[in-house]
Amino acid sequence: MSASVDKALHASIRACIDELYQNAEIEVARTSYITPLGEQIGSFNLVIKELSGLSQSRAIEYLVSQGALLEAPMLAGEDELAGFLYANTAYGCIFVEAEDLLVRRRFSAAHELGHYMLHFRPLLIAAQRAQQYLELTEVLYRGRTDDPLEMESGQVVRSKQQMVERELPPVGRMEYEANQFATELLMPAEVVRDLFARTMLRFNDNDLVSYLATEMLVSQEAMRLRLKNFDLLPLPEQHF
Amino acid sequence: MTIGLAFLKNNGAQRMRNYTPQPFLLDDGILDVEADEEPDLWYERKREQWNAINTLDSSPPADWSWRPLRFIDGKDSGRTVAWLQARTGYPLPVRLAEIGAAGMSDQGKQLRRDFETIERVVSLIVKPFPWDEVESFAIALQEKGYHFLPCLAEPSFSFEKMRRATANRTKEAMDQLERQALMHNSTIPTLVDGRLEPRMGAFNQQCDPIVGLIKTHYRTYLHPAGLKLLCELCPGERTPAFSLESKLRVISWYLRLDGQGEMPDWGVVRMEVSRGFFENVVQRDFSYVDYLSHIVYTYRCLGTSYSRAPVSIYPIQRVEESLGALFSPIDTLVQRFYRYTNL
Repeated sequence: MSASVDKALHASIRACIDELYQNAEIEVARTSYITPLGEQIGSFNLVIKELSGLSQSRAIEYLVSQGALLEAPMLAGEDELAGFLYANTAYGCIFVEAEDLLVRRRFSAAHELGHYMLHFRPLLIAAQRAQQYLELTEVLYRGRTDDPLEMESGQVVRSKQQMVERELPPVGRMEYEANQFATELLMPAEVVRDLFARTMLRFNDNDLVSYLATEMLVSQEAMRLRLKNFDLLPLPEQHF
Repeated sequence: MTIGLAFLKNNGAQRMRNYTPQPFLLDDGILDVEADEEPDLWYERKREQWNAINTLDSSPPADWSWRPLRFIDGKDSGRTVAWLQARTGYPLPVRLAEIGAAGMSDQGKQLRRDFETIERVVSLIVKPFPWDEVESFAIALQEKGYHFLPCLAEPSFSFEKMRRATANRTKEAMDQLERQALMHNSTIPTLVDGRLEPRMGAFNQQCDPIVGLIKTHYRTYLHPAGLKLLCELCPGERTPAFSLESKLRVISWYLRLDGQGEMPDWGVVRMEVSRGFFENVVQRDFSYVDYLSHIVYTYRCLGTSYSRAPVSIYPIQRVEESLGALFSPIDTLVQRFYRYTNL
């Protein structure tokens, strides 16, 4: 992936995150290191729902029971999912697997929010302006590891309007972007670097990762990867 | 969405009085802390030579370089302050604690505190709750100066098991603080209160002179003859050293500090040093064990006012007291928490 594409992605993620904070009327300078993801999702009128044994059909069943869908589509899958996003021009819902670890549920929700903000919302706004009805779903399969950044890629299921297909990036690219979005939202660079600077002298590698992950309510695997990506791990001059 | 500290109230949390822990409803063996360790009892002496070793005459030379000069201890002062019921029905404890660790070093025959760290923490089993509610609660706690420690244990109907899991979570965080205290200066001979394994990563097991002193014995490693010997040890006597293998390889031995206790094994501590250090640096010289035992024996607490005196040594008691002085009274802490959470 070229540097200019990544730079553009980073700028677009930054803009989305700023919008999330503005929309939720949350001050960026807070005393907590934890991203208020629930508040941000709520500020976009997206519903958060946790279901045990999450699959596309379970999620659709729920949407039908809530009146968000009038009938279940024929092709709703039974594969185990970590996350599922449903959005139309008037309503949206983020589902996560209730049996997953809390940090993973958070990451799945942030991943789905990434799809919503980066991929779905521009199309939904355009459809609304054109007074058209549009309905989009995205599935995030349950990975084999607990590492949210290694979760198997998801799949976007477009609606009946095939025109939409041309507007969206390829699936692999969308998954990468959604993961980047989740990472930057839950572990903002400035917060990670600030916490790192305050604590790095006190800890060894494992304790540092565990401490920062607990402070930011993310998984240790995700935090370790984030620190490695910033070249902050391994810590210097440790031979334990 | 306004949840924050109202999370507890919203989930029907109730204050909980301080109480003596009850027996486990389910026998889950939660105290299985040292279960993986495999002892090699004949490390120093063969079976037929397993006799008490007197260390009272093993006074080390004045310039002996392995005399412990730094002392580390941690403290977890807390209790279960509330319980709430998840929508799935599990009764879940909320543990509030102040945890900390301190180090004191011997500076010209005077013990001075050279490191301290304290945190206020709240631990709760999070699995049964919606992630966004827990997140909101954790944010509100951080804004009040508490660290939220999500406990990942599977929920169960055994309240004692849940209580123990939250206590273990705060202990893990305390161990982390103790590792910080040790890392502050791990190259000088240091004695830590407790086992060495939880301090792994904070010292170099091949060359750092770190000694663990264990006062509470969750497991006995000795054979029947060794147990008989343990009960018969006189003050200042030790058992032969044996080797323990788990994540960290250590050599260990029992030493009697006091013989006036009301229990046969009261007054006995277990000591351990990393086997890498003992074999690479000390070159398996067992006079090291004698000298160290002698020093620890001379450091024993002589005061009777301190309840754990028979198994304590004065420098560690000083670290405990010094750390305790930095802690808030638990009742004040609990009342403030109730006020914040409106319980």
